[in-house]
Amino acid sequence: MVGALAMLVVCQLIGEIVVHGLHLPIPGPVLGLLLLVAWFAWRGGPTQTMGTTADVILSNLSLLFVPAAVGIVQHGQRFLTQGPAIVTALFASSILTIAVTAYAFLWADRRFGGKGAAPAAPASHDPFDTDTNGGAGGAS
Amino acid sequence: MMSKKGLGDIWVYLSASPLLWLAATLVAYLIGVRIYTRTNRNPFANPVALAALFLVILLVVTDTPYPNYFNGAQFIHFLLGPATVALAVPLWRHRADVRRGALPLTIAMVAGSVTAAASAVFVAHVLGADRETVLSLAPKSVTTPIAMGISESIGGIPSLTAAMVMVTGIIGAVFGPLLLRWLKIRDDRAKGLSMGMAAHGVGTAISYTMSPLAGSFAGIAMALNGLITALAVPLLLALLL
Repeated sequence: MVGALAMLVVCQLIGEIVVHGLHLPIPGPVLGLLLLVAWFAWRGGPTQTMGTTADVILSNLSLLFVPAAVGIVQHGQRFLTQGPAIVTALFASSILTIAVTAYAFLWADRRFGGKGAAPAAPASHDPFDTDTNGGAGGAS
Repeated sequence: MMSKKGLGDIWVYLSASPLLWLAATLVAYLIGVRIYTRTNRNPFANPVALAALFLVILLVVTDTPYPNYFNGAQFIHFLLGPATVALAVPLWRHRADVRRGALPLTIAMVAGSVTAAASAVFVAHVLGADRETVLSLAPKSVTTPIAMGISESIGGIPSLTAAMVMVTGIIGAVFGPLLLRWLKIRDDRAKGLSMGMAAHGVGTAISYTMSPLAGSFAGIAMALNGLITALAVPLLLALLL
């Protein structure tokens, strides 16, 4: 558990250092994510512990957004005066974005994706099918 | 019996320590989750929205400034970084799906990213929002830390952007699943992708409860949307405003 947490934090740290050092337009944690994927590719997959740790964190992801959401109190005045414009814009944009993204993906997937290989049956995506390569990468 | 002054002293002590607001955030979230599960996961009872609502009321009633609250809540907020890195695990597990869908994924993400920023800016501008508000809106579908960076670089107000990002996340979490059902979209990849695209991490959290496949596609969308939006928004603004 501690090893896996250390791995996550160290990947983020390296990501932040590289992003700030090279002035890249991507956030540190995203680069950290890519680094961790590269690590998995090298070691043949995440360890059992890493899998469990990530699952625990990600299944409670919603909690992590609460502090930022409360930050809305700082902008009460602006939301009072321009609230309708802001909320309408956010609402219309969210609905449009979901529809456009989903349809664009379905269209492009039919057009370019698969090449005959149909998307795997839902049954093969067992939520509890934690990574089978658990033992392969012994580190962390 | 505790005197009124005694209680006041305890309040003064507690309100200055991170413990109080850390505990309040956890408890508010747990109550939110309890209500969410009790209402059969009704999207309108979104735990983040409920928890934020309880806490905002609490802050207003106790006249607590946000920085004091954040002093305690930052310990939770900090975990967003490691959680983003942890998305590598579902991404790895679904690498075959991702590789097979690389081109459709890219097309959908570019279309989604441009739609998100352009439609928000356009609607707000037409409805008469001021320039700072419009600029702060452009990166609203991107995950908070990236959105704040983009906002700052285009002349928006980063903390206002953070608030809009959260409102967007909650709108997406509440109405996204309803919309997807209404549009009869059953492909878990399309569901996750569109939720992560429109509603960043909050959408990813919801997608995760749909299926791990949807969750990992949402995670991909969230991670790459930050990158695409950072590159696309300055161009879009030059065209639109």
